[in-house]
Amino acid sequence: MPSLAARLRVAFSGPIIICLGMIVLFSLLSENFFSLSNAVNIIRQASVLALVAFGQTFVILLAGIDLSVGAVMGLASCVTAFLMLKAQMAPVLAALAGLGVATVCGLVNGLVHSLLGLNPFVPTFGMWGMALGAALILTEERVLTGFPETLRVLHDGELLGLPAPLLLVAVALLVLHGFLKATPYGIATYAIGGNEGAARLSGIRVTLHKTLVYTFCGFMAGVAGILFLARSNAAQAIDTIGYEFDSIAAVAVGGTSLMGGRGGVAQTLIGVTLIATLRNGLNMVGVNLYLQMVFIGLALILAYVAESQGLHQLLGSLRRRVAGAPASPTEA
Amino acid sequence: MTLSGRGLFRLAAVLLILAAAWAFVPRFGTESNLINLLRQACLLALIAAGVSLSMLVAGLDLSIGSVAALSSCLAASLIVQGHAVLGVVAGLAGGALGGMLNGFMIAKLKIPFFIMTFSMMFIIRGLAMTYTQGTSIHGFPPSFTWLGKSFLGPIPMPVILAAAVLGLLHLLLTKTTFGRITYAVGANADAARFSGLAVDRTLIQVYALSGCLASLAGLVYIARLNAADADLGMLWPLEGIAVAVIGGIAFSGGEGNILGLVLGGIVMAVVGNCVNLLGLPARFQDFFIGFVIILVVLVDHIIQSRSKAVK
Repeated sequence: MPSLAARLRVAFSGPIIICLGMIVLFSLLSENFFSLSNAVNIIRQASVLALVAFGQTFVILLAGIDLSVGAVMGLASCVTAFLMLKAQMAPVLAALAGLGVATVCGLVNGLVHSLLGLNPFVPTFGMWGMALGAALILTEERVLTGFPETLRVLHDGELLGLPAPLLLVAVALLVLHGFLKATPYGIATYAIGGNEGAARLSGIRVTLHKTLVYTFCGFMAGVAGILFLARSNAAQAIDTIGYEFDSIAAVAVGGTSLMGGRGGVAQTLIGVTLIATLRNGLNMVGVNLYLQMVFIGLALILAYVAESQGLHQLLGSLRRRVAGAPASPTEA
Repeated sequence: MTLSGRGLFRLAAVLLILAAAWAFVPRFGTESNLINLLRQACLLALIAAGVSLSMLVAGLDLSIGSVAALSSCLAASLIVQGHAVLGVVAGLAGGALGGMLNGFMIAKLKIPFFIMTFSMMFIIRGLAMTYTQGTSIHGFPPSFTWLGKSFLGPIPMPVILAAAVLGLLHLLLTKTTFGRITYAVGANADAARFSGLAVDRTLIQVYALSGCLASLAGLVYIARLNAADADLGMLWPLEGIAVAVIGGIAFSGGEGNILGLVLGGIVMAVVGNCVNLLGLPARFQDFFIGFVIILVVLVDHIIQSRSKAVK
């Protein structure tokens, strides 16, 4: 059993070093980057991403993927805003309804995926279209504003001097980390991602478990959507499109294996910090949103390559290829 | 390839949808609407051609919309300067290059296709947006717009193009070694590798072709609109998947006939057309597309498991 320090070093070294390097780089490039107010700003920005990425982490631990989360977040926030605005519903009830809708989206994803044994990007990409379409229909492609500001406390509130979103993320992290590492259900999640057939043979109810995990991912997308609504105080169907991408990138960059079975929410928090710092820093330096997409996409691909092959192995195989040595016939 | 039970089922379903639309939707059967429908169906079939190829090798190319956007915008800036042929060639080459990059990373570096093409969807969209700076490029010479706007007799040019492209692809897939290997790789990549087939090379070729077809669809599209911007084709991966799935291309790879895309294109075009004619706002389309994908996959699965149970 390796010591705690050694395990921490193995789990976090790469992403943390990159993150620190970025902080140094952006501090040199922009004079406003390294300040307390900007750090708080990054934390607030990162909190929405953290929540949705926690849900995505569970799905990816199963060796799955959920491409629908961005659209589901939008749907949850639009439903909440719509109910507050058009049905005069109490904000808390409206938020619960939004959460419910998001959870149902996740449930449908899980059922279609686990019952049919289909690769999860099919149903979740279909759900992306449905949720986006439903949100566009509901809002008539407009921005919904002018509802009561009760929910803002989720984003603007403070407790003991700490921003509310930070507390929300901290609580979610502790609960989910404990759940993953210390309960049979958490362990089952790793087992299914590591080897689904073996998990099934050892008596884990794989179909049920997968369905529940996708449902949970939908639920977390709902929570993130409502926090997003609390931040922007306006709901628009397409505002959250892109979170599917950032969340997958955050999970992968943090070091959770896209092949399932390895990683966790703590790693994801590091990945989220990295992506949020990257976005914030690029903003400060004046790189537009579109080029930010390019950088994050490259980060996602690199994270995968680094994780699956090891960069030294990759360089080695390239060198061999350049040198003209025949590729081994069993490479698979 | 004979028409199997599933093929007949699909054809019957499409005829039923057409008949229902004809009967219940006002102005559906007018000549101008039908020509419009046919043009739309063919464009959708073109969009789906690239996705279908990647599905045949048990992959998926989610980057087609972005590849089409970037290559059309690059081509457009050449075309507005009067270099129509050069622009088209550059656009197609650009698409092929993007696809080749996808294929290389998937085949050689073993990156899962959805991670790779999903990342490329954003990377290339970002590059396209940066390139155009949010403006649109318009005012093409007639030597280019005929691709999208002209007619041969009563038939719109995109229809003829799509027919030619799908016909060629069908020949390529059924009559050539490349086609056979493509199906073999899709059915079982490991078996194909152990039988000595050049799996990696085929994957790269297939994704390159997919990118090239995406830019062709993009070029036809901008020729018809007479304008190119970086927003082009945001929903194309989704629409392409829907068309391919309805057309009978299996997600599991190695199965499906490219000519089925015509059926898929017609169904999706009828859906869009009826949404328009019934006066529903266009935003209903996204919802229906997503819904249709899940529905068709479900029905397909049920039919397949039935036929397996019979055997």
